[in-house]
Amino acid sequence: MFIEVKQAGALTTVQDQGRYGFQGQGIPVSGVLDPLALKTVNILLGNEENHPVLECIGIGPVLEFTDPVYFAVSGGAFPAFLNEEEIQLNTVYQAKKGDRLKVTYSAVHRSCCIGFAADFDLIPVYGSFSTDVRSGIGGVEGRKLKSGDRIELKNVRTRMPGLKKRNCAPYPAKEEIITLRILEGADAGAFTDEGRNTFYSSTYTVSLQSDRMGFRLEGPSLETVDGNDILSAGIVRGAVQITPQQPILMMADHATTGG
Amino acid sequence: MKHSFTMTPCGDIGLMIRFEQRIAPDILHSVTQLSSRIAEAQIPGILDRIPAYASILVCYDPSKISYEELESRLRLFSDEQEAGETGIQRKIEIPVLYGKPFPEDLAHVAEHAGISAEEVIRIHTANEYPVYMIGFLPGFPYLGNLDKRIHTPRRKTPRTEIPAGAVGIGGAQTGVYPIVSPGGWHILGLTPLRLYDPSADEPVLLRSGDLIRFRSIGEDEYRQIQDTGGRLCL
Repeated sequence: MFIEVKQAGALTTVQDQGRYGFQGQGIPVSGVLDPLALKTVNILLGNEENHPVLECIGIGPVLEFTDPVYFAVSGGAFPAFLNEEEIQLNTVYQAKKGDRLKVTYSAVHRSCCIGFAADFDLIPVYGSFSTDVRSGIGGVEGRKLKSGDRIELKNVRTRMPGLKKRNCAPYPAKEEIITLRILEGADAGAFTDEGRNTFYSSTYTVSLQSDRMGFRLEGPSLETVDGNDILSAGIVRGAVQITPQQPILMMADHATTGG
Repeated sequence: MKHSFTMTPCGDIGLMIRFEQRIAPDILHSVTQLSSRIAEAQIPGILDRIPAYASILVCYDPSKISYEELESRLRLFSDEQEAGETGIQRKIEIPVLYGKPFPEDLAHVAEHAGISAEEVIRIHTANEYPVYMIGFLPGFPYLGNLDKRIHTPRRKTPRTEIPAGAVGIGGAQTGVYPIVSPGGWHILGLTPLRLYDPSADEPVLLRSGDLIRFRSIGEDEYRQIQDTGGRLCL
């Protein structure tokens, strides 16, 4: 059986927890933006926690199923519909033959995951199914899904014991301002006290230009110490890179080195 | 280790090992030695290592190993002797079709240096360049030892698309773009070698510590190497 992609959405890709061990060669980790959503959807479906899912960013896809399959949607509050009926997040449903799943878009959240009680008939690349579009690896031909794609499924599970109990609460309603805890890195000395003060006392807005590589934060720029030449070095996901224009929060597809 | 190093946390999933912050072959030697020692030790919980000019970022799973434990395991390496400078250093020749696909860039580098395009090619192919690190893009080498005479400030307006295989100069650096990418470097030429090949078992051709030399080739040889898949016979 397969899933037919009727509409691909803005950026729908196959993702799992990502690939480690290749960053020293410049290949990013990738993986879902929201690891909690990945785990949630897989636990609900009885999969391994790292089982690959379809991650949707921006606008979700429209999918049609050729055979029955159990699925769930988790993560951001993207209203989703099975045929015309709205479904709940973090809840397992069974799609019947010919059913259509439509995942729309969220005004407040960036991503959500669609998980299945089945395996994608794809080949993992360097130990992971995650798609990295820039490196052209993983998922479906190393690219985002496009309309007309067919994703073959195998090992489709036909029984889902305790179906009615397979659900949990979605994320709480969004807070307007989120406080992120920061551990200063080795380069924190590149900023003046004034610059650091600005960083800790300002509110930044996630820019619409954000992508899977990084979330650009709009807000005041930081004063740096003159003549501070930083040598390029490895960076971790979650690092805040300060460019002359704006801070960038490093996300799943971030470049392996920076500075 | 010949050089001492410090360790600091990098968020809750990274540990940054830093040597003296300078770009030099002796520091590179310590980085590559320590990086392979860490790999050999197979410390549970370490997910990845990113060696750079004068640092190694160790990525770890905090549910498997604590920062403190990781730090104390890594500190043991500071007392170890380094192997001599005679370690295996691969020498790799990169064939380049100079003047393609942006002949104006080669002309600009020549004009900036006050020499002819032929002289730029002669200088660029004369030196041996150590690979200091791989990063930024899959398989992108950061090379050292570019002759001062052909240092050239980056383009004022970066190009939105530079083809894979482009060999360029940006400031005091020279390097090769392994995949299509935007970039602000001046492009001296094109190599038919594939520095990054996702279909290969070893996706990335170069690694830190390698020594690179560029060789000028003509269009016929360019096509020949391209026809064989851009693979290097080591």
